[in-house]
Amino acid sequence: MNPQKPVNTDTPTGGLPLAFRNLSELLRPLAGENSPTAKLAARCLERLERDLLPRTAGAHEHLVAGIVGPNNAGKSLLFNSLVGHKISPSEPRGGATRCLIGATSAELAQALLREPSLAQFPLTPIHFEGAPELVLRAGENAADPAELLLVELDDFPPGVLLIDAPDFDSILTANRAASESLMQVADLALVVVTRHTYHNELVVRFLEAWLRFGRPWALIYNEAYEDETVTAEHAASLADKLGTPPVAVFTAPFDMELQRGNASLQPTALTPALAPSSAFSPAAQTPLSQWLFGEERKLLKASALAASTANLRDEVSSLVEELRSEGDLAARLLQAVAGPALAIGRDVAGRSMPPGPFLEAFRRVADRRISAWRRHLRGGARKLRLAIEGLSGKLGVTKTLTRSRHLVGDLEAKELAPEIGPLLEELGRKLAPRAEFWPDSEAAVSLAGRVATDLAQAAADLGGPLETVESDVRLLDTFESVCEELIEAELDAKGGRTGEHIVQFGVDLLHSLPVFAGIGTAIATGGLGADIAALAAGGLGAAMTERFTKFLGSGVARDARKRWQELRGEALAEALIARALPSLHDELAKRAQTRTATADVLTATLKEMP
Amino acid sequence: MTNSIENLERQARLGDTLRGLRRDLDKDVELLKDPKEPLLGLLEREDELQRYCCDLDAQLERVSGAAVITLVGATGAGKSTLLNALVGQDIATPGTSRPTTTRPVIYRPRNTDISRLVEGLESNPPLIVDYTAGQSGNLFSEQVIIDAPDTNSTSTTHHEVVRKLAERSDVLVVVAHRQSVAELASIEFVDAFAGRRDLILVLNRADELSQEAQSELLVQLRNLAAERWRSASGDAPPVIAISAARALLREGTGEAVPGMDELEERLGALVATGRLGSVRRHNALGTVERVAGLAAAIQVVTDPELASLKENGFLALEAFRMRVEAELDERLDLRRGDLKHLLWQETSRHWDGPGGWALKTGGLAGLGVGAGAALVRRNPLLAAGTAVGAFALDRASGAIREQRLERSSGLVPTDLELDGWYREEFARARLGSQTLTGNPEAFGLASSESTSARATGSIEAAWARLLERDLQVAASRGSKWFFRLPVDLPVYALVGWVVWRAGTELFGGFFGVTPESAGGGAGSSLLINAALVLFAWLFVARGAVRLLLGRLVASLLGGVRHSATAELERMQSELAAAHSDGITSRRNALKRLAQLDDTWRARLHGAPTDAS
Repeated sequence: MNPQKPVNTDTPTGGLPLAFRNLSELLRPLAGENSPTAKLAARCLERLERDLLPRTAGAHEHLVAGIVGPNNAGKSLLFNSLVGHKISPSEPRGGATRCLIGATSAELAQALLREPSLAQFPLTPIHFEGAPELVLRAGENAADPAELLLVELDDFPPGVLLIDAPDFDSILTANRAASESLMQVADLALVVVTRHTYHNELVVRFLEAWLRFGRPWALIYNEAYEDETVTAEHAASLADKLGTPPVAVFTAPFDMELQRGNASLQPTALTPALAPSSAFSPAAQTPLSQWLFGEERKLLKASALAASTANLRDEVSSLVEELRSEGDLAARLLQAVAGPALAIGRDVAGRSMPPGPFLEAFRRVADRRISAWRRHLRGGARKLRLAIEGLSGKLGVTKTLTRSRHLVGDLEAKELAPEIGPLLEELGRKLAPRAEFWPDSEAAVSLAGRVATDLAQAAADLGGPLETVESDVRLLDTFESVCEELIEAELDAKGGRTGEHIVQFGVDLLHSLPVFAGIGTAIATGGLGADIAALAAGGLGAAMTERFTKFLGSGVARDARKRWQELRGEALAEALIARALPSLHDELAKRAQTRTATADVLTATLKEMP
Repeated sequence: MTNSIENLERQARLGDTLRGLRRDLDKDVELLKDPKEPLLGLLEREDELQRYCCDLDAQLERVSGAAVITLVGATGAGKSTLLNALVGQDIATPGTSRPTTTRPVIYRPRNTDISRLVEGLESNPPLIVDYTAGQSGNLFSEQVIIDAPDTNSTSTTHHEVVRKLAERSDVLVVVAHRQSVAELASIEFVDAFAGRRDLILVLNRADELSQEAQSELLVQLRNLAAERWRSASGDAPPVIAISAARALLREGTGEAVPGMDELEERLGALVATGRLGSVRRHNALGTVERVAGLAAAIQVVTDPELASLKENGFLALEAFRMRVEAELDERLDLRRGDLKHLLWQETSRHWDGPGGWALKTGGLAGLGVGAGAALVRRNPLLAAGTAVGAFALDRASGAIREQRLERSSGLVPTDLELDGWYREEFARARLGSQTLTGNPEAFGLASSESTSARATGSIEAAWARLLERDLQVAASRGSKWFFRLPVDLPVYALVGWVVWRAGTELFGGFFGVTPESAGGGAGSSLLINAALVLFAWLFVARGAVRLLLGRLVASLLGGVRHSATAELERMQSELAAAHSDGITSRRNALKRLAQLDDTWRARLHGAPTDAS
């Protein structure tokens, strides 16, 4: 008795059911997301899980016939006439039915309670005993438009579930959802229209959306003119608008007695010569009840399955399209954000380039290009200098000086802080919801809304501190080696022998200067201040090294800065983007990547589907 | 005849009032749409607003034209049949296939100008039928009546045509059949015109309804009329059940058809004195109510945003000024020493005498010359060298300092600094302004350049004022006679005494004064000693005077700070006022628009009504 019973997936293998199962596996993770595509995916998944999978997994014989139509067209009257009892509220002013009402035989009712395709409705089984309160429950007192009142009747033909729906075109817009969910499960649609409403825009649009993939439908033309040719003409024009002919056309003349409740609505088939012909066409004057409860219904069911599959195919294709456009949009959005952020990131990186790696690279290149003994000499001098510098630290007089890599990060954070406002401004201008940037789709609208929220959030956080951008130690090493290459190339190209001799001599001097200063001070003062002198001379050396690079030409320094901007700019830009779009950034990146991939897989699956 | 002249006058006066109100409305809308800083919330709904404004214009234009009545409704409601029944002729062709009427039928008094009415209907050219006033009995004498295409069929061009016609009408007769009473498309069409047009609701095809059905449907229509379609006067439009087909059949038999009389009466009353004017006034009011509703909806969202933008703008200006001032304070402290020198220089210029010369001379030169004097006994050449060298060095450093002092650049924060502060402090206000208008510098929010330039200007002006005025005042105060006398007199006395001693040595014989009696022999050592004493005295006195002048420096700095701060504050309040004015004018305009219906109602109520 559990309507949520899982679908038995073992029985049929291969073919359509397998394709359905594959599709549902693909769609499930998509449907769980919080995005407009998820809605589409969820709809496809719902169709698979609630309609196609159950239909192909089991072997249900029953036919679901749904009555739909515009306001006051006589749907409930038809339902009551077919059932033979007044169950559905039918009133002259129209719009009385407010939920779905199904009529079925007692044995089918039991089977239906376990039927997975009906699991989406809150099902209320009722045994009909001629009680008039039923009418009240389905009328204005109805709690939920999606509820399906399942009425068991002892005298109802077996194997058919006939469902009456509220109208879909009136001001009671909640009713529309009931008609929509009925159309999701109906094998056969009984469309009731009248001579005045068959060409209404809302009617045609609703029917077109649900029927155009070939779901079988029968036209019940109520309040027809006497002249059958007029009715046939109208039926043909409606079929033309919908793009799919009805399997049968029935007509009922205008009859005042119906309004007074003194008669039942008994549509009869239109002369076959006038109606669009199909395998299911009834003979002239066949009453609707006879046709509906007759033997054709099994064939109708197969036809409905084909229609539903076509429907799914179409929905998945539009989902694929939507996925692609969403992926594109995310990519474009990221690009639009990345452009200005990268420009700022590079600018800031250029302003806060750490000088250390460049000088270190210069020293290394200079060392590499000299003879071994000279190199050893320089190495020794350097070690001595470091020893002298570290002396006081080792003695515990001062704290050891640490050259924190965070210093770079702090400088960057300070330089970045005032750039956030202008970045947000530019993004606000670029990504404004009204701009040409956004395509006209639901996904774009929701994304635009989220971008706006994110930007507003970032704007509200403006005053807050910017976290220091962690710089990778490897990044500095990479930069150092890049600098080495640059300097080496420059020395090769420009230095010449004499030029290089001067440079190398200068470097020798720089190395010895701190040592001499340190030793000299140590001798003069007995050790006091030797480290300070060495440090000072080292600093002087660093400054002079920078002068030396001038000798190499400012091009090297400029190139090095450019390379640093390339290396570092991106990380800074990412920090900026994370600040500007705090909640959206990661999601966008993920979306841009996965959407297109999923779309490709779905397309392939569709192609393989029989 | 007089009656109709009076009528014309009344209509003209009503027109004047309406035009005046319309101009006021335009002014407010133009302000809010200012292309430089438009309210985006308004731009988003500009189409709607534009539609209502155009509607008002059209209503004003035809304020003295013939009454226009249009039959609108769902397909199959029987509009054409109803027109034929009203007119008593088969001028419109009803049919069975939906939608039937594609070309609107216009029934007009002969020679009535309907060029505006048919404008833009080339796709569905109307069929025009003329009549002579009085020909159709008492009903049609001055009215134009139109059978329009349907509002709800799949032929969407029809909806365009009927919308245009409805926009150009005074009265809409909404014709419904039993399946269109609650139909969404038909109801939404009427929703778009409710209030803006006088409505008469007709439930047609009454012959196809049972008594019970008819009364239920009438109730349904009456509910709709009362809940959704009330006119500007608050009245629900009348609901009439009619069978147009039956009326057409009985035409000429004199037999009464229920409802037909009522409809004819209502339509016929339009030409009665004053009735049309009152309908048009209510239509205009209804349109204005829509504008007001729209403005109120925008106001709900925009007004708090405007208020917070104003606050953010103020805060930004305040914070920016504070940062500039704090920086100025720091820089002024750093310049204290320089300013002292400047003051000494300036004072020495006012001070003619040895004190002034000493004040002008730098410490280095003074010491050098003093050392020179002390050395002169041993080695005159070295002494002269020392003195001249020290003097030259002193002059050089003085020149450099002076050059630096003349410029105010040291006091003014750099453009980069100012821009950085601006970016940080104004970011929130700029973003707010951008969200509201798409322009980050809307409503008097100044750009980085202009704000920085004004701040820089303020400081430069204060410094220039110091150099040109305050410094002179302080210098002249520092060189008053009671400072000069105690410093200069001893010098003059000493010099006088040395001269006297030298005089007695040389010419003593004449006066009977011997060098001995005057206190010892003069000579080079006396001169040197005297010079040393002189230098020592001047050095000490110079120090004292400088100390005294140092006191004045504090007040000079205070003056610079004060005038710069005052200027910065003036800048802040001016910019804040511009910002506040910009925002307040928008808020007021929006408020006026949101209350537009009350304004119009009051004015039109006061205007001469031709209904009385």
